[in-house]
Amino acid sequence: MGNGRLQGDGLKYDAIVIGAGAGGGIAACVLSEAGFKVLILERGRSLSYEDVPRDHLRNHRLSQYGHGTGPEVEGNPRLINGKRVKPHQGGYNNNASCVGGGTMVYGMQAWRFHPLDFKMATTYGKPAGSSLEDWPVTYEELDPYYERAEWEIGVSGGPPASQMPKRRDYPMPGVPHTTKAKRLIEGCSKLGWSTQTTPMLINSVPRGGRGACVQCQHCVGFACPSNAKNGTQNTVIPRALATGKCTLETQVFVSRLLKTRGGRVAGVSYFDSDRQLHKVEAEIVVVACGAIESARLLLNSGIGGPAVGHNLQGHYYAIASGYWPEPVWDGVGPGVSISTLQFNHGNEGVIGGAMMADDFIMMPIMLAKNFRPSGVPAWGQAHKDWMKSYPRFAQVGGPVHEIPSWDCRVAVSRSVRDKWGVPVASLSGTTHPETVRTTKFMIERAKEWLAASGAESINAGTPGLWLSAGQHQAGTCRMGSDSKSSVVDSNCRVHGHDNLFLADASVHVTNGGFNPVLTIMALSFRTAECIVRSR
Amino acid sequence: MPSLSELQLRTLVAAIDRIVPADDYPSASQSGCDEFLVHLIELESLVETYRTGLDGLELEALKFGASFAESKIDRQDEILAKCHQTKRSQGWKVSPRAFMDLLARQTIEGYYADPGNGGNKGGIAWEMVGFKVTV
Repeated sequence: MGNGRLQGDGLKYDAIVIGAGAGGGIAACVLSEAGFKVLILERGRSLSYEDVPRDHLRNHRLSQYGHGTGPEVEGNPRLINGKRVKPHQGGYNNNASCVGGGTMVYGMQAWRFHPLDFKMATTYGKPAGSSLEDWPVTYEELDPYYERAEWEIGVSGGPPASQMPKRRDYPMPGVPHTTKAKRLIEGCSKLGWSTQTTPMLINSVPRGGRGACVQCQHCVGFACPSNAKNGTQNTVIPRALATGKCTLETQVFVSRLLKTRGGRVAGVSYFDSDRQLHKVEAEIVVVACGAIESARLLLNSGIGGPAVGHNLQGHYYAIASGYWPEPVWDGVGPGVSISTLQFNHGNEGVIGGAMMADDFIMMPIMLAKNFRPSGVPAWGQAHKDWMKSYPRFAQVGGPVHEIPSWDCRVAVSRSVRDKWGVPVASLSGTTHPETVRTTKFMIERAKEWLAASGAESINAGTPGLWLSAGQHQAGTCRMGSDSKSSVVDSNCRVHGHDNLFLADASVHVTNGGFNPVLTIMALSFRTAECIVRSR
Repeated sequence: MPSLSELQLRTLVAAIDRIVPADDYPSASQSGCDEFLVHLIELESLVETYRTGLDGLELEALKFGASFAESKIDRQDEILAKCHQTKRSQGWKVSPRAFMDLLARQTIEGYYADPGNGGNKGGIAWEMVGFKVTV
């Protein structure tokens, strides 16, 4: 490591955690509390509520001209099928870049994956052309870690759905049902579908020294005015720092993992905010940058083998929308409160399925942008009249369990570099056609749900084959036993590198028919425990 | 130097007030969308596109013998609709259709986004649609 350009800071850590998001925050906490001397390196800033503007054109729900939580619009491009895009532009597949990562502004749905989500290949067979595999980890193995995430980060929710195994209840009662949810529950009872109050990583009652949700109208995509949204920035990262063993460096960018002979990593090199390059050594390195940036870091470091970057996936969303004859908008945030697990599995003729739920309170501009019916002109009085139907509008839908494709991938560009001079992520490929089939099936269920609940003029889009990653990005460093087709083992340790671990959704073999964050959190608790045990 | 000439500004106000016309609630310009757009097009390097597009609308209006801003609203609507159906036109340096898509999209952004962006003065569009901010 005798690179003369690098400034060694002379310190050696027990563990370096790269990325202070859902996975990294938890790993840092578990390791610090176990007595490890930990360094967290986060490229974004530490943000307060006041730092994140309530700008309806620049947020993580609608980033028309930017977003409030990074990464910066300039200097951080990606290539999407060869086309250069900025972080706020379509196709970038951005996640918030700040302390807490996506959990600072997320929609915080707190789902466990279904037991069969871990056994998709065994349950359904492996479709030709897909890279569908079972996980090397079962639901039963993850159960105690799901429970830790639910209790230590903090989940509110109704009794768990009947489709899931028996388990401990949530630590907090669910958020109240909105007017819209009451209609949707009526619809479900007509259809004979069971419902569950949506589990969310939010304080429905005061907890952990912070207040309860104040039911505001700016939840997903924005920071929380009462700090009731439970992310890693207000739970496990403060715990890590309170040990006195953990250092958090922000606005630093890790450019490489430093290899040694013999299969260990020696540490990392990173740029500080003054563009000075540092190197820092550690016994253990945990990479938790999200499925796209983690794969990029491994590729730029020449680590991880031939599977790094492959099997990129996220979630197709099966969504339908409609209008009730009278207002169903009551302004009670977050807005999501009811869901059904009726169609996650056991669907005739398709593979897997999806959880379905109602949606967050929608910014009016998002109705205008995304839901204009074909009969309504793009402007004029008729457009304005249609916008007045906003309180009668609602959508339902959910994240479809994607069938992965090896060819959908993250590579690193040979020509385009970021502001640090580091080759950027280059995304290409599409999901497998079976994902589209399941999405079409689920869209029909979403329409049925709305119709049974009294909605009219029901609309839905038509899914095609495309690259899906988004905030739910996953799969690029999948778990497995074969180092040719997977990157990490069942403990999320990188094949051939005893002291290198991944703690984000890049390790997901498949991404479930659910929002993935609770699974990221559970796996990170488990991986960090494994690191502590093997010390 | 102002990004748009006085004539271009008059054309802009007249055009956006057909995109969101006044009824019981304000028109686009009454709600501040012209200021929103003037600011936005500087930020987004769209000044030249807007100059060209607004000059194009004026050119179309003059074919009927009056400035766009002085034309009757039926005539204004006719010109906007025609431009939206026209991919290329002589005398236009941008596609009329692309300009109309942009103008309509960004006017509507100004009208329905948060008042901090410059349009939707006093949250009037939110009051109209029934979006109430409690916290």
